[in-house]
Amino acid sequence: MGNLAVDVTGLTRSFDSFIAVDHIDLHVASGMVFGFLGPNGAGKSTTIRMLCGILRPSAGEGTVGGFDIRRQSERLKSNIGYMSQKFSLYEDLTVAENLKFFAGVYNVRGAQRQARIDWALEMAGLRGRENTLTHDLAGGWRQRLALGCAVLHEPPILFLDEPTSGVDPASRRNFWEMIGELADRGITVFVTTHYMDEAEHCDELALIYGGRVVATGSPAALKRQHMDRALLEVECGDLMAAFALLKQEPTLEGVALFGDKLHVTAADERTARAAIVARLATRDLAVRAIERIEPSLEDAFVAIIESSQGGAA
Amino acid sequence: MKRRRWLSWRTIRAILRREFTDVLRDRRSLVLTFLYPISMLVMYGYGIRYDVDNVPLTILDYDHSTESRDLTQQMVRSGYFRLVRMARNQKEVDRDVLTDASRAAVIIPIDFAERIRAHRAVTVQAVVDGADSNTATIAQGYLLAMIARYGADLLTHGPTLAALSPGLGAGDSGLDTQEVRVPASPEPPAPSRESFAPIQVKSRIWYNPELKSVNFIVPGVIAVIMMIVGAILTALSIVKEKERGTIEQILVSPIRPLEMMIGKIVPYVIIAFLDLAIVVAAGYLIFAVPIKGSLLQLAIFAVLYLIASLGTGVFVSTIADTMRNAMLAAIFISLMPSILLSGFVFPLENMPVGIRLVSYFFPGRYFVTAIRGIFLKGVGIEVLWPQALMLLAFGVGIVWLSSTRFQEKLG
Repeated sequence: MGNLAVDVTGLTRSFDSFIAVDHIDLHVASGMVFGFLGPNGAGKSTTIRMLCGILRPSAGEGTVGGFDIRRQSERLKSNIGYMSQKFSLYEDLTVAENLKFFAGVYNVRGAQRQARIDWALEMAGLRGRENTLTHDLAGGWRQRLALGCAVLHEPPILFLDEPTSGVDPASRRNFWEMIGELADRGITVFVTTHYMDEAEHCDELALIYGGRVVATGSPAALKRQHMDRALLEVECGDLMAAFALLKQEPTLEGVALFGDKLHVTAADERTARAAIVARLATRDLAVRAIERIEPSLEDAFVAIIESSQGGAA
Repeated sequence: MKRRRWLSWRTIRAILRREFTDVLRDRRSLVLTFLYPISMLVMYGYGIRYDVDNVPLTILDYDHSTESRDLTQQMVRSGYFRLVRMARNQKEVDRDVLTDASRAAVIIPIDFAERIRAHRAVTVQAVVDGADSNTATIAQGYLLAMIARYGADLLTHGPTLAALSPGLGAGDSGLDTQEVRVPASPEPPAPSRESFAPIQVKSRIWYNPELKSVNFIVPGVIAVIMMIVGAILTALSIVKEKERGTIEQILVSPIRPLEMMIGKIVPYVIIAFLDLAIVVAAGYLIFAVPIKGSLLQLAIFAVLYLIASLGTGVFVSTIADTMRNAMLAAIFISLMPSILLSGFVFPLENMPVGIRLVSYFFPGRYFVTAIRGIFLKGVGIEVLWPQALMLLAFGVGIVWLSSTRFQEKLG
């Protein structure tokens, strides 16, 4: 198709004096899985709410699925599916009743109705449990039912706001397989997450931080951008002390805690190694190992965020 | 892409079906909806009674004459009083009243008969326990009336005549002492007889001749029940969606605020009318409350009032985010006014001006006045149009306010 599923520029939303989303541009091509990443409070949900036509932007404009987000919110809503981090189906309805309800709401009718409900049951693996109260379903099943309800009307664009938060790892993997299937059918999936392993599944990513998009690109591209920097994994005694100490070292670009290790970014590997050893020696902190590693997405984002903070300061 | 019509029947039907499933599946709300009006009717119907009968009464008769026994008999036989004892001395009277064995006492002086026979004024003392002021006032009225009637009977039938000149005296410790004088009459030439009782006051009570308080209460119960269903249940059902987060999914769907509102309101309109039918039927069949006016008129006023209470319910849902807050807010701005400021329990005429003014801002008073008129007087819109207009004004106002706010939140 070539056209953009999401195309917004200068999107801004402020609450009183607080600017939650600050002049965001997003261009998402049809049919891709677009990951919208950022820490909590970065403005992910606010952005999604504007894109879904629930929240009026303070400034900026654009289209979703070809519909103006300000003036055509009604038709926009008929053409998107949405599923939020908080489970929001009716718990006191059965599985089938929830599906029928959303079929009614989205005007799915006739032969289409039963076919779509059957399809959703199949996809969510809930066949045979049609009459179970939704309340009694385990977390992963509920999530899949919610997804089934969200795509019952076959929307060309699907918004998922932290769809897997609070779901066990096995269900998460299962869920992402379903997202992959939907994408294969040509649906554009716009998903927010803060799980980096999930971000790897996306075709395209945007990182939002403090209400601004600080980086965009495919996972590979984002990591590559970061490749000209050396990433060193440091194993040493007294992690917190070492972390504080290395933060003060001017030749190192970034220091981050990764489990029981430190990840250090630097322009040059050789000088960085020397600097680390010298710094830690001032406090008699033993260095067990320093190893150059391939950066992960998480490293890339830590670096991007740190440099954007540095730029702002 | 076809443009959607203004309202989608399919969407509304989906919301309605969901709402009904919810109401029918939730046992508690089902009980609340249908058992509550009945229990309330029984509670108020049997529980709250402004009528006073069988007031425990102690009589101290110092005279022991035919006349004094006559008076005693009349009082006991009236049904309004139940004789606790014939006291032998003042001490027993005091004890009965202080221990609540009696609520009232009558003390007949030793020269009662003698003075009557001699056509001289005689004073009978009535003591009323003022601790329960409502009962006291009514019991006092009965006592006065009965003693007066005894005097009047003497005037017409007896050898002597008597008229009334009550003098009020405040008693100690919450007791009201009333002295009823049965005054002296001169020798009985006819003209002078008339001069003692030139006017006979005969009161006739219209519209509720037996003064049965249940007749008065059933209309009030209707007002309260409809407010509970219209305002509280509606508000709760909307706020429940906010609290559970299901509203999120509704917001991103193409459901329009108006469709949502219709879907939310219709089930409670039906429930409110079922409840109305239950209360009216039970009032008529169990409590024999007369329905003098037309049921159609009743239904018209019920619709007007229901619009007002549904509007209040939707309004509450726009100011509360949790069911707990919605409940509190709804009780405060809908239920309490409909009980306290409607004239249901406390007569509005007796309220201080300030509170009475406040009552004009709530629909309860107009509705209660209107349906009491329909039930007991058999009047209709030709008399009750001011009430109808006020209900309509309130309804339009609150519906406008709440739907504006509702659209803002949902739109």
